Amino acid sequence: MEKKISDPLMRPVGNKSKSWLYRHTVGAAKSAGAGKSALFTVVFIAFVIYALLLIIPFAWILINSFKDPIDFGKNKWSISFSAGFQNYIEAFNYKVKNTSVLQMYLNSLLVVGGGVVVTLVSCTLASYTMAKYKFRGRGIIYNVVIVSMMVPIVGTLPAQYRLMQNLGLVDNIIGVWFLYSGGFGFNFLFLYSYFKSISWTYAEAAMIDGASDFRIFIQIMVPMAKPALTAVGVLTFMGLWCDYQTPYFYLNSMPTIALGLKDMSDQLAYNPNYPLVLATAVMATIPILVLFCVFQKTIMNNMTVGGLKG
Amino acid sequence: MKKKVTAIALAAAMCAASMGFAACGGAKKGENELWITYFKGGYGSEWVETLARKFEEENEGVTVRTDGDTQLIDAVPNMMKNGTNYDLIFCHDVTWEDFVADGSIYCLDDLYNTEVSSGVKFADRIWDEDVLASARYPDRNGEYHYYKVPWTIGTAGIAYNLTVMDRIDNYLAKKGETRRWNRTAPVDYYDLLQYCEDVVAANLNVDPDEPTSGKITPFTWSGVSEEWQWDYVLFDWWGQLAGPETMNSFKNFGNIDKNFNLDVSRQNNPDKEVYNPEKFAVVRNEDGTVNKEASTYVGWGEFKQAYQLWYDLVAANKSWSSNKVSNMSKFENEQAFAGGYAAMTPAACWIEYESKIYLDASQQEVSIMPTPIISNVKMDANGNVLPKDATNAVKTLDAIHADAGVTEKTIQVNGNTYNRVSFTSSFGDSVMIPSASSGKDLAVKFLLFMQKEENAKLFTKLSGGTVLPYKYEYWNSFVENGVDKASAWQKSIFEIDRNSTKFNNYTQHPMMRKTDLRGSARMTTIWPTNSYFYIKAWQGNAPTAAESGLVSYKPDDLVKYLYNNVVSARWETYKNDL
Amino acid sequence: MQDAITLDEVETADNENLSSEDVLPEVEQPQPKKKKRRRFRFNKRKFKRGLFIFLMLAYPVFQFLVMWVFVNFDSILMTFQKYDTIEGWKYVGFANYANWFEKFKLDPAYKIMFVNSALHSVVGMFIIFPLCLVFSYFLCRKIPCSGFFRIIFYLPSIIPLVVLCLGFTNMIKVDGLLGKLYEGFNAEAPSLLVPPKVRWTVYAFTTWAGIGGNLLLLSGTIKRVPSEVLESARLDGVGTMGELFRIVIPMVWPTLVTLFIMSMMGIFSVVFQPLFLTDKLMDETMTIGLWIFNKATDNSGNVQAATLGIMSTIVVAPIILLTRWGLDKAFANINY
Repeated sequence: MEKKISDPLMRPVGNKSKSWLYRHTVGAAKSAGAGKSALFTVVFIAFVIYALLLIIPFAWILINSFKDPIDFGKNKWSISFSAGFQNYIEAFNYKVKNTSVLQMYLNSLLVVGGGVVVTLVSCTLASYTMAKYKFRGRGIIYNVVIVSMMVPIVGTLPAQYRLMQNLGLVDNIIGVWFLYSGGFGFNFLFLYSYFKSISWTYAEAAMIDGASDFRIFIQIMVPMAKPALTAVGVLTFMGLWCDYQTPYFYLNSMPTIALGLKDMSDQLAYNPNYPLVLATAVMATIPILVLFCVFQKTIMNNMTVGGLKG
Repeated sequence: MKKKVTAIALAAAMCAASMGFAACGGAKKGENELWITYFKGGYGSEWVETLARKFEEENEGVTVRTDGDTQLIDAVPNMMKNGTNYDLIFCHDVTWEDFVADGSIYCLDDLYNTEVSSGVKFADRIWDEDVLASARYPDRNGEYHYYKVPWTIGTAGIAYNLTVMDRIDNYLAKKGETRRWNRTAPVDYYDLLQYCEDVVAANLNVDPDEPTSGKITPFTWSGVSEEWQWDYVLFDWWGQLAGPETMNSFKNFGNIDKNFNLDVSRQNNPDKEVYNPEKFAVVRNEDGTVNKEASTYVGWGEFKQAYQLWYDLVAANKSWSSNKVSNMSKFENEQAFAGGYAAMTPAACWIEYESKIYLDASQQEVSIMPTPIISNVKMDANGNVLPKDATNAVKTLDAIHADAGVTEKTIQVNGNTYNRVSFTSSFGDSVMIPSASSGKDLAVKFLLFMQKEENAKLFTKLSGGTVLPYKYEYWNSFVENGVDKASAWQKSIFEIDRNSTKFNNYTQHPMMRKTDLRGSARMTTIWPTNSYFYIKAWQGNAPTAAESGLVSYKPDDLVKYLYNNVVSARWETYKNDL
Repeated sequence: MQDAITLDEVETADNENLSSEDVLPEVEQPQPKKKKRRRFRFNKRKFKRGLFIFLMLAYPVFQFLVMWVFVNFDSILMTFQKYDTIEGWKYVGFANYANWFEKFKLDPAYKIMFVNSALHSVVGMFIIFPLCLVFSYFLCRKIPCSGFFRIIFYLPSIIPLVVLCLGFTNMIKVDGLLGKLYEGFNAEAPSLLVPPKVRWTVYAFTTWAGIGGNLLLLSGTIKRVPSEVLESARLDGVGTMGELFRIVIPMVWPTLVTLFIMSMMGIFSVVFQPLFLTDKLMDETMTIGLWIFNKATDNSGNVQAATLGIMSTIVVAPIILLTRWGLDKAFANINY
């Protein structure tokens, strides 16, 4: 029996005996209110146009990634597979700044993977402690964090670079991870709210059984926060994967795919194999797309439960 | 539990694999290893790989690793400041002078004093005194030492498509006229105008069998990223009008000694009048030669005239350039030129090598012309160029005539003998040894190896015709078994280099090196704050909001604006940065 | 599970999640009839808890102190310094600030830089943000194919900027999609990658790529609006737009304020877009963020960059704080 959902925003789109297309177009419009169909039609058309404006460039990149340079130069709008998968095969071994694209991928996995781990650890430690424990200085820390997020201080990049140079952390992956490991920021607020929403009774029960604070944190609170941590982890991964500035300044000898892609694009002036760059662009995008598609629901659901509320 | 263990094990394995592979990128340097990193651009990689193998053969036990990088210029400061495994860095436009004070660049005095053959030192092998001086810089105590080896002597001008030229000649022949060109480049400015008119009149399709393939235009150039290549042409015309001495004076802000080199004792008192378009740097005698006593060599008047020549050729004839100019990137432009979409493009010596992939595909032939001589160019009262047969000319523009009796590095045009000058592109290309290098001896040895006659020729041959800054017979680099296999392009490069007085825009004057006058340029720039106006002038739009005070991009308005609003108005702030 | 608590409730809800020991009423113990002596009583439990809190916060606080507090402090110090290649760092008083005032006065390019940055903020606040809100609302209203649209609209936020710029520039070139459209009308496509139009191209790009940025967050927030409220409003005859403006927006107001403030910060956050779109630095497209990025590692430019940053902060931060204060007053906070 179909589960009854009272929320009009979540109402099912119509009789399942109708075709998928009907249910998702006419049926949906009807369920949203027949009287509003004109407005919805206009909005739907606007959505379609905007979606096309987003899809066409990426479709163009994908199609042209299968061409050879001469074919590409002759007509950028034809559909042809003159190079087949050759560009993708070549891309893996193509070297930018003495680093192959495959190497860059692995660099990205290492840098971003480590970055996600340190970010999660640092944010979780900070947000849990601030959310669940009362101690001297808590208010000061919290207010300073909020102020630091609200007041935009710019121009610190030169000082940051100078500091990293003095610490010997330029061109060092530890330095990059250190930069990524900030425990206070948007992720902190998100996790802070999430931990606040977790009932303390679980911890109380564990304390009665003799569990220490640390054990409660590891064995009770962290597992309960898994959905939020997953959402934060995935969003952080996507953000760091596309990060250009930090590897540019601090990890020149281990270029990540975001940095390498820009360098490849710059190299076009000297090695005009545009389809090769497009193939690399596709390869750089696929992991993020896959990750997003897999974790889309987790991200959305947890942005609603623990996230900034209305 | 099993799932957890599996997941943890998988994650650990991935981490280990990533770290392992990532670590592969940072190989350890062994003993007797020479590591070379080089700018991988228009010269390609073949030259360094071949020389490296040859060096290994001649030095048993030595291994040479070569790594090319098209973005090396961005990595060099980091490498120098934070240490590197590389022993030799071949890079373009690098500001090596910045590394002298903190000691991160290795002093090469010993190299320059090394005897390379009987009685001949390395320093004696360098192209000329000007090039040699550019390798010296004062240390913290103000003493001059050698810190770099110049890498190339570049040549620039207007590249022209020989296949297109043949088609123009065929068109003329079909019309019943004589074949005007016969693969010979336009010699003077009016010849150049004539060629452009012929291209337009011919109205040829790019692909003769394909009417929709577009029409061949006189010019193609990259307005998006490479408009500065018009500087090559502009500077040559400026050099023809004002002489290389004026260029030396200009780039040193008038603070020059009697040899037109930088006078360090006066460098804190730069003269902004070098930018004054109302002043002419040289005074001419009646015979067209320079009156050396009367000339101050300070002024921008001739520069304005040179820009006028460009403006009347390109901007005033908008349809003479491809309509895609404002959208074309560097490689799109090279593709268009090599594919026969246009007859000419501003270029430097490496363009043929860079465009190889397109030239091979299109089976077309290209060459590079010496910048046409400004010979008796007629002008009206406003400085606009008039046709050759105009009778209402108010002024006649002429290049500097050669002094009486001088025959070397001159050119005869229309019965006059002119000084032949050529702007050196790629003067900023440098070879350095970082102080952090563990293979300095090997690096020095490689440099000594590279300057040898046979190896220098090998470089020229494998880089597509680029010349090293040594005294060697580069024009024979392509001779095999008595046959010269150089292309038309390469032959032209060699001819220009051999028969022109070379000049450049490199300076060590602090006003250019340290202040905002330089803008974002790495090398010195003629245009204040490194702003370019070619594409804007060609488009013919009104000046942008960032150019408040500029009326139009026409020569008169532009140079006045640059002098008054960009240079004079901000002169004190520039001097504050000194 | 307890509902999520707003940031504003933090200060008032301190007692909610404390351990049971912390809220037990104090029981008065009978005073011994001995000489009163203050004795230090080592509370092992409290010590362990204190140690736990310290260890948990040690690294995050340390990182914050180093990378925010120290760096900002050093950045301010830097604005009073200059680097000499021979003498190293030396103090020059307010010379860097004076230099900037002169530059601003004399060089219109710097004015353009500020104008560009401000316009990016305006575009973010009044074009991108409202569009994102409207899109989110209609996606929540289950417009047909909303799931598909949600993914597509969010894509620019997760795709590397270089890829976005590659796609965008190839669409707007003369031989791109735009060029084909103009060809269809026998007209010449405009040159959008060179001055003067390149400036507007950058704004168009940030709009094109930025609409979906806060989509997930806004959609999620709007979805949490209680259905009973909406149903009741519909029964009262409130239309779609009325529902959006009179019910949904007031109910999600704190989130909107936060996101609006973040849009304001777009004045500094546009850094790489102009560079990646045009492959070069141009006065016409320069922004504060890009200028600072460009000069960050330059020996003489870095102090100018730091000075520019501090001056910008001094001007912009009060405006942002004031805006936030004002907007917070617009609607009462609604708990649900």
